[in-house]
Amino acid sequence: MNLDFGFIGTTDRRSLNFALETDSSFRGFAPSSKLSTYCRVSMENIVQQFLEVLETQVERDIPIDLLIDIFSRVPAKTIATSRCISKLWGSILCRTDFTELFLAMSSTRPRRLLFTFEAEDNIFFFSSPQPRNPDDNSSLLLTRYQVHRKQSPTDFIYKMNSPNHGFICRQDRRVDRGKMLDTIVICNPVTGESISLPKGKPKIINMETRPYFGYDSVDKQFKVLCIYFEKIPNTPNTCYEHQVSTLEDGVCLWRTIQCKPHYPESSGLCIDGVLYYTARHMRVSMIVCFDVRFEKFNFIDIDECMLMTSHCTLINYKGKLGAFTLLFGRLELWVLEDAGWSKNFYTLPPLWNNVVGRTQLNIVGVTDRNEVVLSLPCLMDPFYVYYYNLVSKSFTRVQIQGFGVFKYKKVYTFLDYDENLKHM
Amino acid sequence: MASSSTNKFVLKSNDDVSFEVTEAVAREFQVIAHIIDDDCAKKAIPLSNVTGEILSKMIEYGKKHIEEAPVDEEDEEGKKKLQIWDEEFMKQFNMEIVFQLILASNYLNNKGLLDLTCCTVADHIKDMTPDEVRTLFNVKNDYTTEEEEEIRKENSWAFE
Repeated sequence: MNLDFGFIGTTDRRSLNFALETDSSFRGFAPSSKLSTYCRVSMENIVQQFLEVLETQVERDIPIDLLIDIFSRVPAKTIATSRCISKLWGSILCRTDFTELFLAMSSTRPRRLLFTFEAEDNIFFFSSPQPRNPDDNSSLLLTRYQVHRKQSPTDFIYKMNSPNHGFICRQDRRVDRGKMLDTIVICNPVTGESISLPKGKPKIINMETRPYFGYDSVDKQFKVLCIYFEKIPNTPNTCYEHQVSTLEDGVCLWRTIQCKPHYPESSGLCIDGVLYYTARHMRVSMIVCFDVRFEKFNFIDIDECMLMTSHCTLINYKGKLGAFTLLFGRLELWVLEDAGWSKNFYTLPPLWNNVVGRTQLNIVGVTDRNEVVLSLPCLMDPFYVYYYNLVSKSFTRVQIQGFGVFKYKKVYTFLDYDENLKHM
Repeated sequence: MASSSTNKFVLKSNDDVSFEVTEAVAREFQVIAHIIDDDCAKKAIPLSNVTGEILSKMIEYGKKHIEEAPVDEEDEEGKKKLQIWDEEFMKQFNMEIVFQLILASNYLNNKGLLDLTCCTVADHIKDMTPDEVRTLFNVKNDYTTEEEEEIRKENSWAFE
């Protein structure tokens, strides 16, 4: 059956109701047909079951567009299990218009934490809804997505970018006869799919590669920005090359774009179609802004007092660019406002030392409830995620359960992960 | 001219229960707002698809959202307060009533209540087994055992 759903606003009810009426697998409650089945059982059962039916009988002939609306608000796991409820639902929940609606409705679902690590030949992805009011007694239970098999057993994850609209871009590395071979891989944790991008062809060979991943929300396109640079930074004649590729139906063509030389340092962060990362050139630190849609570069000066080093973590602070550093028990938060950088310093409570001790923590990000989220860089048992509230100055940790047998693996933790059901 | 807080309208359910509401509350429902704008609201406005029980709950929701409306987009405190009230409001209903509220808020076109009720059902079904979802929405399983097995295999991660 070919259904045409006019989603979001312009719903064509007639075609939907037609689909509803013509498909025998989906029908409103029909007491007469149900009762005829019950006649085969004893009288006592009839009464009992009829009472149950009456009790559970609801106004079930809900238009299919409203049911689709309901399904667009559940987690990806429920969608995966619900695909087997009937043929009609199996087909609806796989359709591109549904997967697009599902992504558009991300904001109605609880934000999620995503954890990923490699173990043997596989890459594992676990996720859990972010706790709403974390306290020391909270614990989170994980959902494990499809297991991703690595391209080659000798590959290891070299760089991992934060997820963007449900997709992840990582750089896998393999050492072959003393040579380092890198592959850029885009994957979707939910569907288990991944594609390796064809290699760009920089003019100078033996260059280091650094991929960044952006999303243009106007044209709804994923783009990969790849920077090639010579391995020795800050030499006057360092060669750089910048290439960009749009991810379209598995096709990837690299285009060279012009930009002033810079040596990329931090991992990338994409906010509203702009990709940010920290970089250096000739000892001058900067934040690079790459407009994903127009493929144009811009550079932000760094405040002189700002410790823009490799310790700095770029974060999305309520839709604005923020930068965090955590040094000597002090948390520095810089936020880029219209008028320039605003800065705030937070002295961590004594409890911090009692709870964290000498453990090194990575800054994951800031929630919309003003909590800084920190996580262990390595899988431990028990495994915790730490929350420091910038307003109340309270500090708590939440136990994450469900990693099973995995221990001592380098783990990447991400905040505000949106599940995406789209196939590549 | 009477203001929207003093102007009153009567809404009449399909089981003949009448509710007098202020214009502001009546306008919370798009369909009724159109009736008022078209100057067709002289007498009681008959609502053929909504029972008195459901209508009273919808009016309660509409009133609350008028009285406690956040001051502006920045009013995080106000939004949070209303959100907590919404959650408490939904707790009193069983699924039958929630479904009726979905249909009625769709019919009378109140986006806020439609979103809230759809979210409530989504939250209710999120941990359900396929069988429980079928029962709730009255869906007949038309897969053969082999076909269903195949679909389960493709989505095996979600059944773990």
